[in-house]
Amino acid sequence: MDQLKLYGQSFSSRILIGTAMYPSPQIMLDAIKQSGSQIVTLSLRRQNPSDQSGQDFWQLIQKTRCQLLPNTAGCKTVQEAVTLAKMSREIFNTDWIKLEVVGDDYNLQPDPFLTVEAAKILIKDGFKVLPFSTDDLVFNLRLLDAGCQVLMPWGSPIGTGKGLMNPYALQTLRERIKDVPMIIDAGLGKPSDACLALEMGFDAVLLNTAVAKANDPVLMSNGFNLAVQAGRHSFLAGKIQTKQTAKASTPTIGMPFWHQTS
Amino acid sequence: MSEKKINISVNGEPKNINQQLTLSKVLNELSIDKQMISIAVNSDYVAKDQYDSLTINENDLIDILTPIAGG
Repeated sequence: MDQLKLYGQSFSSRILIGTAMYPSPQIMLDAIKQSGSQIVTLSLRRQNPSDQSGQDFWQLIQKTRCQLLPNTAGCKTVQEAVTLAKMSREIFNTDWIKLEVVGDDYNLQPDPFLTVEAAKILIKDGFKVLPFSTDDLVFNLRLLDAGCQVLMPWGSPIGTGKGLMNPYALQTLRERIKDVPMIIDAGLGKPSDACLALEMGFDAVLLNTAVAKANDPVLMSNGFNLAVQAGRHSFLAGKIQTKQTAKASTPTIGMPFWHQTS
Repeated sequence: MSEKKINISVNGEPKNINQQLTLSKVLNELSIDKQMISIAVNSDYVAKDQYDSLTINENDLIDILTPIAGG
């Protein structure tokens, strides 16, 4: 059976889904269900002692029975990311961490140097690091050197919906790093973007804004689910070579009304 | 004689508490439920098993984090 394998765990779904920005908690739950995802991302923030929303959110997430993937979104230094990862491990009881170290506020591009440094520290401490990276080949190679067993290059900057902004760089990444699971994280806008990513040989996609901010998040979530399956089937099946000239698909032998003129 | 008080910050808000309190006692004093929270003091993670032994000092910055949605 075709399964996504991440850090020794197998998943039948190739979608990881975020939990932010949905119109309501129920729509979030329905969208997660429709996506088929078995991995959800979430985070930690300061709590107002009188506010029970953290508890409420936690109870909701437990209903999904998904693998939890806490993130270090918003962290700008190695220390911030490492501290938040340790706090996430304690509260969510998982050593999985989606490592994000922001390098620039304008496009939320991850800082390659700090991400690699943080990854080394976290892996040494027993974390299973899923690092958010760009499509830069060397950045991703250094993350592998640091011990990451999964890579999560962006399609385009977070929340932009621009899809696969640099197909050449992504294709190069896939060709140079063949045996490590790669998840396209961030920037996807529509199901066809996800389909293309899977057709290119990427192993999965991580979605949030494209689903949560769609007019109908649940329907869009289902669309992504189908698109990812289509893309994966296409990749496994192997597409035909493109040609410059037309070639009839219907046999010409036995064609009626066809008379040689000379 | 009243106990000496110290100033600390909890999630960015100034608080005035008795000195020589452990983190655990500070949480009790502030009526904070210890379930589903994780804490950093001066940006360093503090494991739950250290709450009873860590003493909070003047100007300490306490961050109390709880789960939220994320992408």
